[in-house]
Amino acid sequence: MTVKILAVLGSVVVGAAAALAQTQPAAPPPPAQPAPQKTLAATLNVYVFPTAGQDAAKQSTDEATCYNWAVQNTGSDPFQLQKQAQQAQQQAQQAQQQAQQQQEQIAKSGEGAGVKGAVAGAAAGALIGEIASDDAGKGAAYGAAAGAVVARRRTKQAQAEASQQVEQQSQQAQQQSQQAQQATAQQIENFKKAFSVCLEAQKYMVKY
Amino acid sequence: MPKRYLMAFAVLLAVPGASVWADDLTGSTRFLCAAVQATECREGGECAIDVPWDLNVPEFIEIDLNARRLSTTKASGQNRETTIEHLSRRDGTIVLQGFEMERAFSFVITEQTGRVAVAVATEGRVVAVFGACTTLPSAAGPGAK
Repeated sequence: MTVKILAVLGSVVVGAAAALAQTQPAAPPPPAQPAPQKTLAATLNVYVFPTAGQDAAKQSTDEATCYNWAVQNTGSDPFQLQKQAQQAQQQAQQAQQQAQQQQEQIAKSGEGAGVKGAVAGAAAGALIGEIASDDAGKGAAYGAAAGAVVARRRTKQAQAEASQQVEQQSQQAQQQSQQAQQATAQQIENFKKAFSVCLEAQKYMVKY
Repeated sequence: MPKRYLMAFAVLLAVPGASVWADDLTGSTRFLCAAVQATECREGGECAIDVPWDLNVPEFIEIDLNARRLSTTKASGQNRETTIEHLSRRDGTIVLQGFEMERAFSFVITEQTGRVAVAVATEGRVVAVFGACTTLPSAAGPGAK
C-alpha cells in the first residue's frame, strides 16, 4: 500500500517539474511601436499640404521657420499660451474650491449659534436688563426662546453677508478665467493666421 | 336704504378700530402691554427700527402696579421680571421707572388711550419702544396688595 502511494506521489512531482520546465522560458513582449510623430502644424490643428513636391524634412524646416516668424509677428507663442491658460484654469478651480470650503465653514459656524444663545438664556430672567443686549453671555441671561431667536437672527445676517461676499469673489474669479480663455483663443487664432500666411508663401496649401 | 347701509358699514368699521387702538386703563392696576415697534439708537447717531423681539424686548409685558412688577407672560415661557422702583399716576398718565443691569427705563402710559412709550437707556445706546396696553383682571395672588 505504501509503495503505491509513494509511486503516485513520485509521478505527480515529476509531472509538475516537467510543466514548470515548459512554462519557464516565457516569450519576451513585442517591442512597443513608436507613436507616429506629429508635425508642428498638426499639433496646432493646422493642416498643411506641400503643393510644390516638398519632402517631409523640408516641410518640417519650413514649419519651424514659419512658427518662429509667426511668434515674432503676433507676439504670442501658442505653447506658452496653452500653459498659461492651464495655470489660470487651475487657479480658478482652486479659488472656487476655496470659496466652497469657506461656504461650508460659514454654514458650520452658524450651526448651534441659536442653541448657545438659548442655553445662555435659560437661567435667570431680567426683563429690562437684557433689552438690546448683544452679548448673550454678559450679565444675567434672558428667556431661552428669546435668546434663541436673537442669536439665530444675528447669525443668519452674518452668514448671509459672508456668503454673499464669497459668492461675489467666486463669480469674479470665474469671469476673469473666462476672459483669459477668450483672450487666449483670440491670440491662438491670430497666430494660426500668421503661421498659415507664412506657409502659403512657401507654396503649401493650409487649412485650419 | 343705501344711506342706512352706508351708515351701518361705517359703524362696523369704526367700532373694531376704536377698540384696537384705544383702551381706557383708568382705575386699573394690571395691564397687558404689547410692544409694537422698537427703535435702537447708538451714540454715533445711528438709529434702526426693528421688531421688538429682535432687541430682546418681550412681545407682551404684564404690568402690575400693586406688586410694582413688570413681567413676561406665562405663555411666553421666558420667565423674565423687573421691579418698578418709581411709580407715579398723575393727570391721566402713569409713569414707571427703574434700573436693572446698567439699564434705566421709563414707561409712560396714557390711561385714556392705553398707549405706551418706553425708553431703555444704557451706555451708548437707547431703545425706544411703542406699544398698546389693555387691562387685566386684578391679581388675587400673593403679589397683589
